[in-house]
Order: sequence, then C-alpha cells, then structure tokens
Amino acid sequence: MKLAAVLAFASLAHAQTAAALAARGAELLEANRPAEALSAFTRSLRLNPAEVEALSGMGFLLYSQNQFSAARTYLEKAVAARPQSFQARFLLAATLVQLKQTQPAITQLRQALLRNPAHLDARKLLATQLLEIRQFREAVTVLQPVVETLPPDEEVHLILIEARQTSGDTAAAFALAQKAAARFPNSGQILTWLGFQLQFAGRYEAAKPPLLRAMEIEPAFAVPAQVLGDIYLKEENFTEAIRWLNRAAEKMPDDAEVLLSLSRAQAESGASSEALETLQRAARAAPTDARVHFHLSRLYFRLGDEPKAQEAAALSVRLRDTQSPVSPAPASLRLRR
Amino acid sequence: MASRGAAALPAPTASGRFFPVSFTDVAAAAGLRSPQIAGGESRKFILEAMGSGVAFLDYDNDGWLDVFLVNGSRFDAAPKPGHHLYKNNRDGTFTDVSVKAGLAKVAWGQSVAAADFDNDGHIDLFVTAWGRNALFRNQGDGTFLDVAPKAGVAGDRTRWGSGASFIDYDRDGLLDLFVANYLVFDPARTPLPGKDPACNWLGAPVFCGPRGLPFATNLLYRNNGDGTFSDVSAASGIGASQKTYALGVLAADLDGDNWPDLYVASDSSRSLFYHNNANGTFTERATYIGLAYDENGMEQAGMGLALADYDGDGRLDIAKTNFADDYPNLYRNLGKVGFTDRALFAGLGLHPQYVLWSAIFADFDNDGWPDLFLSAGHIFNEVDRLPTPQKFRNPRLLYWNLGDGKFEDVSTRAGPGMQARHSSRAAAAGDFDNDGRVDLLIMNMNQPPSLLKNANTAPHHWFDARLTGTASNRSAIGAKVRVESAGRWQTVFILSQSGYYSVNDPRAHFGLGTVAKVDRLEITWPNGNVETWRNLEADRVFLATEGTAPK
Repeated sequence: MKLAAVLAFASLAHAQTAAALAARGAELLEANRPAEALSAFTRSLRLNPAEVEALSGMGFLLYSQNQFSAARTYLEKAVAARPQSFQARFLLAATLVQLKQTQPAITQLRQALLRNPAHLDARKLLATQLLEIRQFREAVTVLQPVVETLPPDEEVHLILIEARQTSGDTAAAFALAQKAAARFPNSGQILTWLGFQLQFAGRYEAAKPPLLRAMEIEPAFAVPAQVLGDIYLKEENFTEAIRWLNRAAEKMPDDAEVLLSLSRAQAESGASSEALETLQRAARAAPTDARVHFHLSRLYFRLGDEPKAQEAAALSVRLRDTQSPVSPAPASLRLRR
Repeated sequence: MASRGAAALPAPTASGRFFPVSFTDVAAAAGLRSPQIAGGESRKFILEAMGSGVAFLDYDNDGWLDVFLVNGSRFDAAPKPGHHLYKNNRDGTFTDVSVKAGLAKVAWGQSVAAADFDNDGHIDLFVTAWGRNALFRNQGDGTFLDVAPKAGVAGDRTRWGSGASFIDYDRDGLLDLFVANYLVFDPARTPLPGKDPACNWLGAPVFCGPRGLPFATNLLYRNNGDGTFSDVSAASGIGASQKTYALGVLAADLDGDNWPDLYVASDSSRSLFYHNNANGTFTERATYIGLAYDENGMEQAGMGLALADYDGDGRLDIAKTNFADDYPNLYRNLGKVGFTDRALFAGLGLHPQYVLWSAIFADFDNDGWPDLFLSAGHIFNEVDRLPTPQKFRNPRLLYWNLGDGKFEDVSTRAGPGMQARHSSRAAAAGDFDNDGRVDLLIMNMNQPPSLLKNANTAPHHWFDARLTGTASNRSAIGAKVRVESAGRWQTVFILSQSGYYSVNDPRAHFGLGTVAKVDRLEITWPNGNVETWRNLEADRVFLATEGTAPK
C-alpha cells in the first residue's frame, strides 16, 4: 500500500511537470518566442506524450509556421487524447482546411461546435467549408443564427450572402445585402455584393451607385469595376463596358471571368481582334475553364475560322465533363471572403 | 435538371397598348374530356414527369383540324388509356374516333410527329415511346395501321424516344425520320426517390434524373420509298454519342443553305445543332454557332423549341424553354455568324419560377408579328410542400411581340384560359374552328387537355397557305413560306413537330394587320425550287400546290 501511494504521488508530480511545461510553452508562444516554446512543448511531451496542452500548443506552433502536415499529426493526437476539447478540434480543423481536406475539416468543426456553439470563428470556418462542397443550405443554417449577434460581424454577413445567393435563394441574398449595406456603409465588399445583387435582379441603374461607392472606399478592389462592366455589357453600352472591364482587368489580369466579359464587350463592339487577344489571354490564365474555350469557339466561327472553332468547341465540351456547374456569383468576389 | 438561381427581372415599361386577345378553355364543351395520363400521382421515376404530345392535324382532308393526343401510362394498377383521335365536327365540337381509327394503343407514349411519309395524300403519325415507337400509317379510310416494325422504325430494343421529326435530309422527295432519345431508362436499375444523393431537391426526396442516368444516342432513318426505312444513324453522324439528354426537336434550314438541319434541345446538358452537310452526313456545331448554351456558356435544361422570324429580318429564330431558376432562350439568327441569345433584352426574363415546356410562335392577334406562348408546370409533385415559390401547377405565359425586338408579358390580360393553373407540358397552335384566329391545344398532366379558343377582337386580316408538294414531299415538310404585304415580309417554316413533343396546324398562318391583301406569296419548296404567287386575297386559306404558280 505504501509503495502504491508513493507511485501515485510520483505520477502526479510527473504529470504536473508535463502540464507545467506545456503551460510555460503556451506563455512563450504568447510572448512570440517560438523557439523557446518549441523546446518547452518538446520537453513536456517527452515526459507525457499524451499531454493535450503540449500537443495542441505544438500543433498551433507548427500551424503558425505553415508546417501543416506536421501540425496535423500533433493535433490529431490531441483530439484523440481529449475528444471533448473544443480548442484541439478547432485547431485541427483549421489545419485540415489549409491541407484542403474539406470533408475531414467539416467533421471536426461540427464536433467542435457541439462543444462550443457560440464560437463565431468556428461557425464562419464551417460555413466556408460547406460552401466549398456546395452544401449551401447547411451553410445558411450554420450562420443564420449569428447574423444578428452584436456587434455585427461583417464576415458573417459576407459568407451568408454568398450562401444565400449560391443556394438559389436570391431574394434572401438581396435582402441581406441591403441590411448589410446599412450596417456596414463603408465596407467595399458589402457594397459590391449589394451592387451585384441589384445587377442580378436586373436593377441596373440602382446597382451603379453602391458599386461606384465601393470603388471609392477600396480603390484597389477590382470586383466593383467588374460588376459595373457586366452591367454595361447587359445594357449593350459596349464602350462603357470595355472601360470598366479594362479597369478590372488591370487589377486582376488573370481573372478569367473579367477577361470573358471584356472579350464579349469587345466582340460586340466590333473589335474582334482585341476580343480574340483577350480570350487567348484568358485561355492562358485558365486553360481548363470550359467557358473560355466556348467563347473562343464562337469568336473563331465569327471570324470565319471553322476548324479552330471546332477545335475549341471540342475542348470546351471535354472540359465540361470534368467540371462542376459554375456558381452565378463572381469567383473573385467569393475569393474575397 | 439544371438550376441556376436566376432572378425574376423587372418588367419593362408597359407599352400602354391594348392586347385584343382573350383565351377561354372550351375543351370540355368541345368533347375533349379524356385525361392524358403520364405516371401516377406519386412520381417515383422521371418517366412519369415528362408528359406526352398533342397534335392538330387534318387526318381526313376535310379542311378542318382534328386532334390527336398521345397517352402515356403509369406503373400502378389504375386504368391506362390509349392514344386519342378526335374528329372535328365542324361545329366547335369533336367526336372521339380513337378505337375506330385503330389508334387506341396503350403505350408509354411521348411525342408525335405528323407528315405524309409515303406521299399517298394522307397524313401519317409517328409516336415515340419508352418502349417501341409506332408509325401509324393513315389508310385513307379513317383508320390507321402501326407499320413501325415492318418499316424498320420501331426500334431494336426498349429505348426512350423523346422528340422526333420528319425531315427530307437528302432532298429526294421522301421524308426521312429523326428520333431523339432522352436517356437509358430501366426502372429496375433506377434508384428510388432519395436513395441516391442526387435524388433530392431542396432537401426532399424526389425521383432521380436525368443527371446520373445513362445517356442515350439519337437515330436517323432514311426513307427507302417502299414503305421501309434504313437506319443511317452511324453513317450520317447522327448516332455518335454526344452525352446529352435530348428532348425537343426542330428540323429546319437554320443556316439558309436550303438543306434542312436538326436542332435538339437537351435537358441538363448542351443542346445540339446537326448541320446538314448536303452529302448525307451531319456535323454537330451547336457550341460555336451559339445554340448549345446561354450567352455565358452555361448549360441549361432545355425542353421545347419554337421557330419563327420574330424580328422580321427574314431569318428563322428559335425560342427554347428551360427548367425553373433559369430564363428561356431567344436565339436570334444573325446569318453567317450564328445565333445570339436575346431573351433578356427581349423581355423574357420575368418568370424564372416556372418550369417551361412548349414554346409556340404564332400571331395570335394577327398584327403581323409572331407572339410567343409558353406552357408551364413543375416536375415534382413535392414542390408544393417545399420552401420555394415554385408550384406544381402554373398559369400559362403569353408574350406579345411589339415589333421592335421586344415582347410584352400579357399573360394576365389574355383571358381565363391563359391564367388557369395546370401542370402543362406539350402544346400546339392551330385554327380549329377556321375563324382565322390561332387557338391553342395544351396537354395537362393526368387531366384532360385545354383547348383555348382565341377571341381576338382586333379587326385584323389574315392569310393561310396550305401546301401540297408534288416533286417535294407531299406534306411540304421543310418548305419556307414567305408573304409580302404592304412592304413587309413574314416567314413561316413547315414542320412536322415543334413546341414540345407536338404538332401545330400544318397551314402556314400570317396575320396581316389592317391590310387586306397579300402582295406576294413565295414558297421555297423542300427541294429548293422557288415559286411565287401575287395579289392574293386575305382572310382565306390558299391552297398552294407545287408546280402550279403562274409563270
């Protein structure tokens, strides 16, 4: 009995030491002393390989150094050692997102949110991952309960607008964009979404002021110019369309959607050689985008080169077999979230 | 069915003009009371959602349009009626002569094409089906005989025949036959609703398809002139796999080279344009001539097709219907450089909440501009319980051609027949009471059809041309009919099937507005010969026989 008590005490002391080292490592991390933190976590794990704080700390440290595969190993051990840990699961999920492991990330985020449903960043991360796999409705379900949280969170609004839009619920997306514009009147992104929504609903004149305002607020942001160009393209004002789409293309020279719109405006205005040049640029920027080759095929045909039209059309059809349907929202706007 | 989340666009400023047409459903009073069956009320398979065709035809050559209704079937034990033929009594009513005519055949019928394939002076019927197709030869005595097996067009196995069209693709005066096939369907191998992740819609289990179900290939049969056909699908290039789900069909000279081409609307995949190479082969060119996708290069869920020169520039344009959350297409023919989609510019983007099926161009008010009718109806019964504004039964849509490249939505101003809610599919246009006003016949899922009588109050004149080929095929399928009146030309093309699965009045109808005279009638016959008649009276049916125009 005596020996057992001594062993139990020794084990506790051992554990306390590992825990203390893990805590020290966390403090060092906080103080931006990563090398020393690494040493503390390593010593902690040497004493107790299942020390959750050390595993989590090590994972976080490696994550912050962009060593995602190594971080994943530690974080998976942390989750296995303490399945109830919100922090370990959230960190693991963030790491999996970086490794483009969308489905496992979603699994971890769902588990994490069961433990801490109020965590806004976890909700936002889960929603963005759900959008990646086109689970738009679940993304809405994840974010809708927190959109009215105070203080309002701009990112929540942006992701939710996108989720509504891509799920086909354009009326709700539009309503939210209007509400968001009132809450964040100086957000270039929100105003751009509002302009996009108005354009999508055919309200071209109403769409222009928020887009122009977005450009004032964020001069480097190209998407408002892109959407404005698309509006003029629909209005068949090709001169204005080319002007704004050129401005967008200056800022996003490799954006296929901008180049596609620009080439259409050029072709419609009779500038066929410029249109062809723009499309060839789009093909270099996005060689696997079926729509680029579709537009190329049409332009070649208009220019009287049917063999090239056939070639581009065949490539477009082949590429479509491997691509999922395209979202109606501009990719560049989605990427800004 | 592809869905793209399209928003309803704001209606353009109203023209302020009075639309003089009102439609009333007179089907029951006219005796068209038998329902067209297409599946059970709880639809487990996509086959039960597609509906079946309708036709206006004059099977007894008495100058009055009769009605043919294709019937589908059902998987449950409820009664399964056969096809229906109604003879026009010339007093606004019809008599069901289906059994006597030998047409009451039970099948999973789909579409109907009508033409005189054997040039004997009597209109014949080709009916596609899931199963074997039927070629009902009109024996000239009020009866029909299914000669499909003997003629070699029944199909060599169970296929899902969808749209079909007679076409004299080699211009030898004999009508050949194009048959589209939708997909490969086997109920034993098709997952039930919700049993596959793809078999859900808005979170509810629904029938599967078309995506996920195997593609089929299309068929072309060459008429041998002896009552039989040869399958030339492979040799002509038509039979090559295109990985599309083919539905509506148009056979017409769309590129103005005097050889008939084929355009096929495809569901959830790119649509196909088979260009006639004038040597017995076809080249698929839809992508680069602008008929495969919308203007952004997005795939659509195409259903039905209509053909007209809607803008009066002498070229044939195309309207195509699509699934909900999308807009219809209005492909304007630009001549040598292909087509461009003008649907939104023309004002057709107002109602993306409807699944649209049949498209019909016809001049309902006889003002000289073809208007556009669209039938609507959802495919999922479940939609009424789901969080969406879409409904299973919908009103019809009517767009009035304003003559400036734009259309005005007059659906709610065009009478009770236009506003009645059904889940409609096929539709045909024709003047069944010979009053010079174009009426409508519409298929409603598991209900009797609607027969919308046109009560146009505008004092407009009209002119109909009924064509008989002699050197060309007798039905003049593939003829281009042009009319000049008061300096304006109008163009109509003679088809054996259009809309969705349906057959319009075989007579070419022209509204003349306030002008009571046709200055010139010009017919380009299917063999390329052109004949002209001059100074014809309005408000009549003119019988134009090939080779009889004054020199």
